[in-house]
Amino acid sequence: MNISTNALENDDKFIFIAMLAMAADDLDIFWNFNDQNPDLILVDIEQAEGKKFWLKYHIDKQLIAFAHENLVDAPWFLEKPVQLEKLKSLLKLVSENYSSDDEVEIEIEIEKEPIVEAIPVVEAIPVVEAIPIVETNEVFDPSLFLTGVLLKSETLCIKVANFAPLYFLPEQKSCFSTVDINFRHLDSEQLKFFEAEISQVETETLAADDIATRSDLYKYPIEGFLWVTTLSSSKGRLLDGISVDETKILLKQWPDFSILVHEIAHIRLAAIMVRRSLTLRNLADRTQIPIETVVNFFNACFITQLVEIEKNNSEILTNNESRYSSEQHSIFKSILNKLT
Amino acid sequence: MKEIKLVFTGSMGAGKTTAISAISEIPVINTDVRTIGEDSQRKKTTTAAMDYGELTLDDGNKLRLYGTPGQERFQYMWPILIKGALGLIILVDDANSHPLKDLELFINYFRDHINNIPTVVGITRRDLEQGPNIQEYHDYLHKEGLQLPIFSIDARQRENTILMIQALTAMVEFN
Repeated sequence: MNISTNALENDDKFIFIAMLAMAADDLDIFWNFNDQNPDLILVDIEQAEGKKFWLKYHIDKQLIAFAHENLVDAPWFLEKPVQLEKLKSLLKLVSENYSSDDEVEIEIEIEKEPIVEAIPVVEAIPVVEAIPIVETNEVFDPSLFLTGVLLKSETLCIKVANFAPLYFLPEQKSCFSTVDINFRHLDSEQLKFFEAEISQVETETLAADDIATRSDLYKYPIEGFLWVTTLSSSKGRLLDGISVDETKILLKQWPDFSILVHEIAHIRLAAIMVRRSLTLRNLADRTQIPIETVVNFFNACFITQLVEIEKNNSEILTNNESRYSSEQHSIFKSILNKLT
Repeated sequence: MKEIKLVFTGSMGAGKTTAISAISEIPVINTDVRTIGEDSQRKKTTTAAMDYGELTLDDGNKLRLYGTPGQERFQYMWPILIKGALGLIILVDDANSHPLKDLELFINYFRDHINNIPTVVGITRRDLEQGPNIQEYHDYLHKEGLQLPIFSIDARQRENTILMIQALTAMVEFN
């Protein structure tokens, strides 16, 4: 079945497309993002344009209301922000409704997109209003790595090879492990764990109570894991739908580097990205940081919902005059030289 | 020799003296007095005039590290210490009863300086999980029209103080 969006802000749209791809494995019907011929349209009714669209078409078209609250009593409603579990439940509900209404039509759709053959997610998502990455056609698909497991938001015991199991409790937004992990100083073995491909990952269902009684576990915020798995498995490949040269990006806020694996380049990128909306290429040029590092950093920020995709072409900072002198910068650099 | 100084401010018990000690090459000189009022339950002594530490840079200049007194009754020292500062580090004790109000106090007081010198916020004692989540601190700053780095830090860890200085450096580079 085809689904499209109306009036969604760009970052909501990208997150929705990514979540749709991740939901695909657990759904009986294949959902394809398609703006041209949609069976269903997700409408942001909190936007003026979306509200207008909703009022005009909610009787004639199959619409899903997208908002923080279902103020329009929509039969199909998706709460903001998009969460994988809620999206899956909604799509299952819609599928059931469709199969009881029009079984023949659904069968035809299923024949068109056989779900028995694993369809790579990268192919399932059409590139929307964006030009593919220039250097390579490879995209970073989080669902093929440990990141994808964490994004599914299921209470799980996650095992990779001989590493200690990771216990993931999404309702607590936390991961637990017997290992004392210092995200600031990961060793090469730990990095292997974090960049694991999905084929190396085993999962088992888990009861939250099993974890509550254990005293041998360290607790970590989920952001740290989403961040490091994305950063280490991206390897210069950009998320689908984003263009290195076209998409302008702004950082909503500084990442909490004290709990995230990082290098000095990431701190420099954050400093400029919170001030200016720039393409990834511009960022690499201005900072002289390799584009691969910029891409990996962007992916990690995107997955942890720290970025905004800019709609217009203007830089967010109107005053480009620097408030600080080069002398101040050189003093700070000499302080760091002394300390590090 | 120029005077180059970094100022550490923030609520009482947030770890200003500890953070300065983490990078100072001399034992921190402080002017502790007995705390009074509710604060005396939490901390027996506090800084009255200032903390002072030093770091000699490679060119011979000295970086002076000043910590402002935490209790509001010593506020008269704050403008004296902040004058001419290269950067400002605000530390907030997350385990305090009203950490967001503490942040608000320092943001309001130093607002003019924050507009002119790079500033970073360090939230200490986050491990106790008593205070707001980090997003609430960001939301407060956004409401104030500020976009500052906020880090969960352990003031005892030297690398945490270095992280804050790295952020200040990057802000100066790309502002």
